Amino acid sequence: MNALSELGKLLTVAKIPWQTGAYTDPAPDSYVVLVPLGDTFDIMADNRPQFDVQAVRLSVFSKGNYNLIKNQLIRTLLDADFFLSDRRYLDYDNETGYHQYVLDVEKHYEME
Amino acid sequence: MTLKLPDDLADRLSALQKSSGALVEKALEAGGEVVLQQAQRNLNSVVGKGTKYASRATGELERSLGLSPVKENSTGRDIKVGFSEPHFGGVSNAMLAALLEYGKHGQAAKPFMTPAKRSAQKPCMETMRKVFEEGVDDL
Repeated sequence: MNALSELGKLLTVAKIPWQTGAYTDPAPDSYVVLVPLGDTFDIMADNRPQFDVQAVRLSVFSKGNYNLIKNQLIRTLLDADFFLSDRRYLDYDNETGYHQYVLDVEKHYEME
Repeated sequence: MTLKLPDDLADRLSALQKSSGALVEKALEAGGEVVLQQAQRNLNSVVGKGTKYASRATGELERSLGLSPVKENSTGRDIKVGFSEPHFGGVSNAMLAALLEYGKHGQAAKPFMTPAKRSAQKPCMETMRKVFEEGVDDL
């Protein structure tokens, strides 16, 4: 399991349209773009890393009330043991009508 | 019997008290330099890459990335990695950097600052600790 696939499953179950990197399909009124931020090793034992820490940014785009999708996502992410390292409202884009909200998450995965 | 006070230790503690401000500043600058270099590497790797149209990047954004002076804040002192202004043409460097970092509808994000912060955290702390300890040893 990795963070991207786990997040994808959570978003699919929550019926939130999502893609990784960029949303290339015609965009719905609300969607999420997953952006990998980096993987780091953590906690060494016997000269080997014991955990892989994976960080991903969820960029939430919404033309309506972005709080609905934001709150739904935060609950879902916390229930799935993701650590929210940052969350911030970014901007309202006058040209496209989308609000943009960003959630940065991290999760430890035990090395297999 | 004579009792000898630990003058050497007392003198060094006194010297540390006097020079701690300068030592902290030196450690912050050294640590900030580590984060800055990582941010510059990341920024160079994303500017003008994978653009829909031919890139018009001039290198101005990369050149404007730098370190702030050490300043007091509500909890102590800090140093910041960020962009100087203005950018040629009236747009701000910070706005361009935010567009790269977070993207927007129809434009893919190319994060460089958050990954730099993550990957430079341990080397930064290690450098700051080393610089501070060397400063203490030299007292």
